[in-house]
Amino acid sequence: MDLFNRKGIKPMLIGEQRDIFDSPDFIYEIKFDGIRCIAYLDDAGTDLRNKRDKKLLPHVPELNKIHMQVKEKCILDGELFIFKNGVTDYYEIQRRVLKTDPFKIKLAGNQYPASFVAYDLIYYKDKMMNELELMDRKEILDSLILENDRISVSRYVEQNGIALYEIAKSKNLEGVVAKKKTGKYWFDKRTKEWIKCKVLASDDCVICGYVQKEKNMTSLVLGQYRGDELVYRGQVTLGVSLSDLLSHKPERIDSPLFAYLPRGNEDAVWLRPDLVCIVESMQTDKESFRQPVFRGIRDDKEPHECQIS
Amino acid sequence: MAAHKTAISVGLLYIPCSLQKAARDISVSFNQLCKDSHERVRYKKYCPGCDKEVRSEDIIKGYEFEKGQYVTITNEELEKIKTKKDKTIHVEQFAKMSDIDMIHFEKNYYISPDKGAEKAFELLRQAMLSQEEIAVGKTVIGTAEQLLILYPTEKSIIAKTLFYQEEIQEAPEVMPVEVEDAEFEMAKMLISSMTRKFDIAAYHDEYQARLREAIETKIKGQDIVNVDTSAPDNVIDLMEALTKSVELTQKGTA
Repeated sequence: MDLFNRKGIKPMLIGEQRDIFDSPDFIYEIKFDGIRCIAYLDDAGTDLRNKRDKKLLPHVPELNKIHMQVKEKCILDGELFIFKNGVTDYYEIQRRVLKTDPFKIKLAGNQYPASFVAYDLIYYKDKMMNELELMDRKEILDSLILENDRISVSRYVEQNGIALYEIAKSKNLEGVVAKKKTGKYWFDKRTKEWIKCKVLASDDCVICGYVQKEKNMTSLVLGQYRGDELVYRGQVTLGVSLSDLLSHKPERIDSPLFAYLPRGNEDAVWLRPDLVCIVESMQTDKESFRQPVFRGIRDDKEPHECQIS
Repeated sequence: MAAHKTAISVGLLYIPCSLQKAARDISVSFNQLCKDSHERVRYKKYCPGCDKEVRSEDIIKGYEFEKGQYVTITNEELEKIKTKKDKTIHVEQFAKMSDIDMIHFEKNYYISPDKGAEKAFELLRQAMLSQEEIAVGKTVIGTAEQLLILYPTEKSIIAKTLFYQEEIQEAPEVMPVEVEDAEFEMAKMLISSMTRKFDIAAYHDEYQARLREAIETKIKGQDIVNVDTSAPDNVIDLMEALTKSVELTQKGTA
């Protein structure tokens, strides 16, 4: 069956995180702090899916007309985000996709409408585009979309990664993504053709437990996998809300699943490692995170995918 | 909506699948607030006999068999008689849909087969469809033993839970009445004059619509305070500004 009808696309993934660099072989785009989104657009309508093929449009009904902004039937790869106070606000979009009440969704949409920014083209007219090189895909993409407040095309610069990174940093943006000009579109692959260069490093961790501390503070006990083994990765306190965690109804277990557990976790309540969260920290080469900040729970990633990089 | 994991077992067939509620409640619900502080009101459990608040660990269950007279029952006692947690839908017989009085219908669930079970599921669906039969089965949801039917649709299978016979109340008695032919004709004419194709989409809960509108208006009145006007409000402008300034800095240094 045609990919357009079959859906279920697993998008290409960023394969590396490193310091910013200049290179004539790469283009540089702003990294949007949103949710990865595949848009299937044709005359019949708009269908938005996340990385796990879950339908997103019910959560962002304000985007139900974006198919009218493209000149041809197409599948776009991009980011679904909410723009708030001059930056893309991951927390807002994350909260939105967890909402199910259509009225609450509408109210949220009135206040902070979501937008889609397209950065790649997977399918155009009736053909797959994944074998084309990035710059050829970008060329078609640029002429395909009539931009408005709900849909836009990601801008990029050539060569000058460092300059874009510095400006992005000064605007409190997350960072930039470097993409190799000659790269093809590899479904479901982490390749070094896409590289993220972030102001703060971010990691996905599994929530393995929590510790209640003084002054109503809660720390989460973090883990990541090395192959099949769950490894202790420290604790995060900043940004953590216990009631938020408990609203996901984590399942308690009697003892931790780590082979090795350092001291300082004696009072932890252990949870089955089902929930994945995003932790931001200063760039470091060490085993544990430096000044980690909890950024929220994500439901588009399996715990097992949180591998130590 | 979270799906409920289950499996259909029919004779030797075992089909892992999940149930998903077909309907949802979208009516606006309010929270109770204190008039002065606008804090959420909390419930405290209170015993008038002891004149104190009761904690949940000090509460036991009692059944009032006669006014003011209770037998108590412990959680251990309840545990003993609980139905075994069996999430499987056991199909006990097949029947005609017309054998079931509509008054027994309760809730609808969509059923979707798990990966690998699609074929067995499709087999059951097609067989039921061609025989024009539905499956009658039992499953456990929570602690309740639920009676349900599985009926095939053009694409899938839907589960309908049923009220047991003893849950249905007796209908009020009706006295036999004679009707005149002319009146009967007139009544029939009235019906045909008001008959048109039914379109459910034309019907809405208008009270809910007005309620939502009223809430929206109130929120709009409060919004103005929260808007930051200094920041760009549009991502296209932001992207343009950033890429332009990269170009400018490059020209400056070249």
